[in-house]
Order: sequence, then C-alpha cells, then structure tokens
Amino acid sequence: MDLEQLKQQGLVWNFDQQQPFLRQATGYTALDDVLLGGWPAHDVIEVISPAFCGENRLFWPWLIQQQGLRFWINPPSPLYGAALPESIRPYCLQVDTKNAADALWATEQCLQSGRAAAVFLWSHEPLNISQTKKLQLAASHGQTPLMLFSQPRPHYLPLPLSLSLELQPRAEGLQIHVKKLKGARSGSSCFLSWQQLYPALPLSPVLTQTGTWHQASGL
Amino acid sequence: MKPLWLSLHWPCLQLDYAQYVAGELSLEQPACPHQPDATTYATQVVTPLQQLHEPQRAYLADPQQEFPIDAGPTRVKHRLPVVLLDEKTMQVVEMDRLAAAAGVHRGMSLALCCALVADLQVLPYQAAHSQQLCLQLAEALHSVCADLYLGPKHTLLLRLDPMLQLHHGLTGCLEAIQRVLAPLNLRCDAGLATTWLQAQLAQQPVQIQQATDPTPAKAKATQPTGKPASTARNHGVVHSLMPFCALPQHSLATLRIALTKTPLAAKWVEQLQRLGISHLHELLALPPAELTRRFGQELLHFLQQLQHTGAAGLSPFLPSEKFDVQLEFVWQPTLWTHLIRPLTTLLQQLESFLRKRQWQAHRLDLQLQLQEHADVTLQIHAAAGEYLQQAWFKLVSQKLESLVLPAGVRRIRLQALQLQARRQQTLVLWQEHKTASAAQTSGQLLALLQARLGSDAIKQPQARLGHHIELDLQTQFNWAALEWQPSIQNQTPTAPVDITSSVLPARWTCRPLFLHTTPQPLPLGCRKMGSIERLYSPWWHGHVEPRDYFLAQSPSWQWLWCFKDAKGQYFSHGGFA
Repeated sequence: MDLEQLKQQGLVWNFDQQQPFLRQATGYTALDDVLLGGWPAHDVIEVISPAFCGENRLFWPWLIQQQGLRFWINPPSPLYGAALPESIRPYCLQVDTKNAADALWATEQCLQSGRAAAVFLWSHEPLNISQTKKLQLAASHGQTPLMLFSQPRPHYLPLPLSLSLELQPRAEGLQIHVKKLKGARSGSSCFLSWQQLYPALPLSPVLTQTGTWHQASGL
Repeated sequence: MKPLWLSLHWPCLQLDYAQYVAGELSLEQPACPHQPDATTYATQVVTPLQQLHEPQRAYLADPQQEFPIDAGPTRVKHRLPVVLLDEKTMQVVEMDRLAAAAGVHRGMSLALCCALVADLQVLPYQAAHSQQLCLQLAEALHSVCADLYLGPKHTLLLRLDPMLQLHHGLTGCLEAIQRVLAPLNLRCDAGLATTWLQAQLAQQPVQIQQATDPTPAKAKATQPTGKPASTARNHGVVHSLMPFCALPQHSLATLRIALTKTPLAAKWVEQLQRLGISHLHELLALPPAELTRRFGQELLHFLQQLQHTGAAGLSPFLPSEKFDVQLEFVWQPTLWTHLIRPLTTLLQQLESFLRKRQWQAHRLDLQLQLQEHADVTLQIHAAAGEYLQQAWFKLVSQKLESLVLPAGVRRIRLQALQLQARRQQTLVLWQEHKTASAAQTSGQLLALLQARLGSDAIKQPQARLGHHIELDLQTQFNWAALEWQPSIQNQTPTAPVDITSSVLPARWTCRPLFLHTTPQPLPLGCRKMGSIERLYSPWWHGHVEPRDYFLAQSPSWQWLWCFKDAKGQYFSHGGFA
C-alpha cells in the first residue's frame, strides 16, 4: 500500500491542511495567550475547581456579550438575581433536576436547541466517555458551548474534551492550569489576580488598629 | 338547482373508531391460533353475560398484553370478536368486523350471538359515546360542508348543493368527504337524495378504505350483497356514491325501499301490507288525498316530510368554541406506550381544531380515568403557545414517561385551555446567528424542559428594588413574564459591558452569583475584606432586623458573602463563583 492509497483512505494527514480551531476571546489577555486565542467555540469545556473561587467569573466577559438564553443546571446554590446585569437577567435560567440522568437530558436539550448562549452544568458524578461524546455532539449541533464544572477528584479520568482547566485559588489570585487543550500541548498555566477577576470588589483586608488581620469574632 | 342531501351513518361507530385508534389489523388479517396463556384462558372461561356485569374482566384480553411488542415475529396478534350490547333490550347494537364475519348482526340476541361465536367479548353500549364520536366526525366534515345537520340515530346530514360551486361539482365534493373519512376506515352507510329523509331512507353500505398504493385514495364500493363493485376505480367514494348521484334525476319511486325500514308506525305498515303495499314506491304511486282519507294525517305528514327539501326537524351543527374530547377504550392499556396511538389521534384533532380557527393553545389538561383508581390529571404547558400535533406530542410524552399507571386506563380526556390567536413569527432573511437554523423556539425548549422536569424545575432569577434577599430566592419561572418579553424569541445583541470598570460599580458587581437558600455558619479562619454594608429588609415583609454584610475570604481562598446579625452571630450567605 503506497502513500497515495493511505491518503485516499484518510489515514495520512498533512500538516498544512490542519484546520484552525474556532476560538472566542475570554476577555483576559493572559488566559487568551494560554488558550491560543480564547475559549473553544461549540464544545465542552471542563473546569475542575473548588466552589466559590471565581470559576464562573472566568466566563463573565465573554458571556455578557452573547445572545440567547443562559442555563445554569444544578448549580451549587441558587442564582442571585442581583448579581446578574439587567441586560442579561431575563435570559438567565436556573434548572434544578432530581437526578443526574435528568440533568444530562436537560443539558443535551439546551445545547442542541440552538437557543442557548451557554450552558453551565455542575455534575456531582464524573461523566463517562459516551456521555461526554453525546454532549459534544449536542454542543456542536446547536453551536453552543458547555461548561462542565466538577470538584477536584483524586482519580481523574481523562475525557475526550477540547479543553480541561484546573483552578487553584491562591491568596493573591487564581492559578489556572491547562490539563488538556485540543490542538496544543497541555501543561501550560497562567495566573489571574483577584483584582482582575473582581475589579469592583473591596478586596483589601480590614486591618485592626494593632495592624493584624481582623478575623470575624466569635468563631 | 335542486337541493341535494347526503346522509352519512356509521352503524358500528364505537368499535370501528376504537379499532382505528388502536391501529389494529383489519378483518382481512386472519386470526391465527395461538397457545393460550393464563390471561387468555381467564378471558375464555368468562361467559359473555358475566363480562357484561363485570366489565373489568372483559378487558383482560388486551391484545397488547397478550403479545407484547417485543414478543417476536412468531407471535401473531390475536383478539376476540367484540359486540356492544344494549343493556335494556339485551340486543346487539354494534359488532366489530370479526363478529360480523361470523354472522353477528344488529338486533341479534345475546344467546344467538354466543351460539354463533364461542369466544365473544360483550361490552355495554354507550349512546353518549356514540353521540360524541358523531360530533367529532361532524367537526371534521364541517370544513367540507358547513351546511351540516345532526339527524336521528347518530346520522349526519350534509346539504351539498350550496357547496357544489366551491368543490367544482358533486365529484369534487365527494372527493373532499372521502379525504376526511378514508383514514378512519369506518363502516359507513350513505345516501344521496333531494330531501334529507329520502337520503336517510336511501342509505346503503359504503366501505371506504384508505389508499394502500401510490395511486390516489383507493376505496372499494361494496354492494349490499357484500361483493365489491367490479367497476370501482381509484376514487372509491365517488364511484361508490355514483349510483346515488343518479337519484335526483329520477324519482324516489324507482327505489324499492321496504316500508318496514321507514319511520312509519308499525300499525300503518301492517295496514298497508294488508292492502298489498309493502314498498315505498308503491305508496307514492297512490293519490295523497285518498291516502289521507283512509289513513289520516299521520301518513300525510310522513309523505310531506319525505318531499320536504328544507331542514325542518333537524338540529344544525355548530362547531364548538372549546376543545374537549374524550376517548373510551375497549381494551384498557396499562402502559403509557399503549397510549401513544390514541393520544396521537386526539392531538391530530386538536391541531385540526386550532388550525381552522388560527388559534394556539398554551395549556392542555390530559385526564386519565383509571379502572377502580382515582383519575390522574396532567397539565402540559407551552409558554409560547403551540398548535402542531408533533410539538404537543413531544411535551405530552415527556410527562407520560415518568408516569406509572396503577391500573388500566378506561378513558382519556383532553382539554385545550388558554386558547389565543396564533402569533406569526417574524423570520429574518440572511440572519447569521445560529438561531436562524434552530429547530425550536425558546418557548418550545422551556416547555419541553418543564414537561419532563416539572413546573418548578426552571427558575428565573429576579432582583427587586430594595434588599429583598430572601425574597429574591423565592422566584419561580414565570410564564407570564416570558410572554410579555417578546424579545426573548429573537434577542437583540446586548451592548458589551466593561466589567473591568471600577468607576461607580453597579450593584451586580458586588453581589455574589450564588446565594445559599439558608445562611450557613461561617467557617473558621475567614478574613474580613473591605467595608461593611448594612442592609435592611423591608419591614412589611417581616425581616426587620438589619444585617451587616461584608466580604470574606475563607482559609481555602473562597470568596464568601457574609453577614453579622443583630445577635452578633456570623453567617455565610453566598459565594462569588
């Protein structure tokens, strides 16, 4: 079997025919550099992170500029309407399901409908490869990205995702480690300060008269 | 133009319609012998009379229960002949095709039926159900002929002459009627004449079957002897009714209708038969004055009614403004999958109802009446309104999938509520956004999610004026709010918001994205950050105690929104995610 036959069967890829992956800017320059231009469009993005450390905030600059409905499926706590800008608040919906199967079904429906700008899913159980593939197909069909949030686990099962991020909060900011990135080598990382993520929040600690950190009393 | 009346009567309406809904095999499919299982045996030992008094046992012979769908190709669907019996006269009112093939006919006694057919299911006849089915047929035929009347004995009388111009003649009119009736595959009697009574008397059996080949709808005209007409061509109804089309040119005297089949009283028929007059044409040949002198005004009134071309004595049919249909099951399904075909039938009726009126429905109530159990009512919502059968079926099936039926379904009832004029969606040419090719609208997506997950599964965050923190969490998804937001279907692009701007930060920038349903104790070692914000809940909501909210960072570097209450206790009320 010669090279031409291998090419005809699609077993040989030429480097110059590689299609560039569609990216959308994240709004953070450092993160865009690491992700080769931004969030991969119309795919599943895994975010491994502890709760309440800015994991949603990473998507905020991009999310605000999108059109369509935004779905938060099984978030760790209810969405607070006062935290949502008025321009997108009517299009933000929270979906609570009774079991994991319903959550996956709702995610698939939202993704493939083509009416959602983004879907955020909190999965308490790790997804398997077939479930991930099904969600990828739905995201591609509806041209909607899925952000899959999960807690750090001791045994990590690599999934066929285009992007997998692991977030590690620090005192000064958020360390973002790229576990997997389609079309590039994994292992890169970047750092975003809390000031970059939350520019409007008063992030300086309260100092007492003696110059020590003030801790909430009674604890 | 002479008046032209078409009389339509369905002698076995309940059983034929039930067979159509169940999608069973027709009579031509022979019933193959099979190995009786326990369920079948239980049915066979029950005598027909016992079945009548214990109707729940009569339903044991559900063919789908005997032979599940996955039973394999070797198991052939088999069911027993069924008759409907009048409980007062104990005579057969309706018989299905299997029973009719065995020789059972209308008016036969139960004992004779049992002698003819060993395995016979006997069910009580319900006149109200026949009347309701007749009204459904009238609703379907109303689009063909608006001059529609309800005649005696569940007969529909259509005055065709005002409609001939619309349908380009009698042939086109009959073709339109065929298009409505052929899919139902009901046994039908039809008659065509210049008066409605003549048309009713001239009724003859007409079998209308659905097309089975690619040629236009094919139907067979069956003569009263039961043999198919050899001259029938593709358009079965037209040619099966063609013999009646010749009727207006001739007089009724050419018809040989026995006087016993007329509504004349038995005593008059007997007296006329003594005089040697046994058919209608013989009676019409006599001078009316002589008949009046001898038999009185009653016979004259009958003769006048026979020749009266108007609609006197008939009640006109007016389409209902409400959609409320019921379906009675001969065999009680116990699985929701068995309800698919009946529901499809009802939803097709709903689509037809809504299409004719240019309406859409926002809510359906599906009531399942169970055997010896409480009724189950399901509410299905469609936020943006739907009128298509497929869209409603998708929602209904999501509701039914999670439903466990404790008993067989005796009857289903479907009501359409919240009817509104249909909104025409504005389509945008050259729309580059992905929603241009989306298969469903936002309202359809939300209705689908709510149908499966429940009405309280979707919540829409809201922010009230003032600091109603707990109240902001008590919001559910509001269909009415969605209805009043027309831009949700085609949302315009939002202006980019600069979240990095720290000048005059908006309220949303310093609030946590997630709020705990109930405040949680603050973990140890949290650092208080920034300043304190004292929030008062409105006194009219009962939360009068002020809270001092502040930002805190946990030892694991999580960002929490905390407060200190009036008692000096610290709680975490949300998190910045």
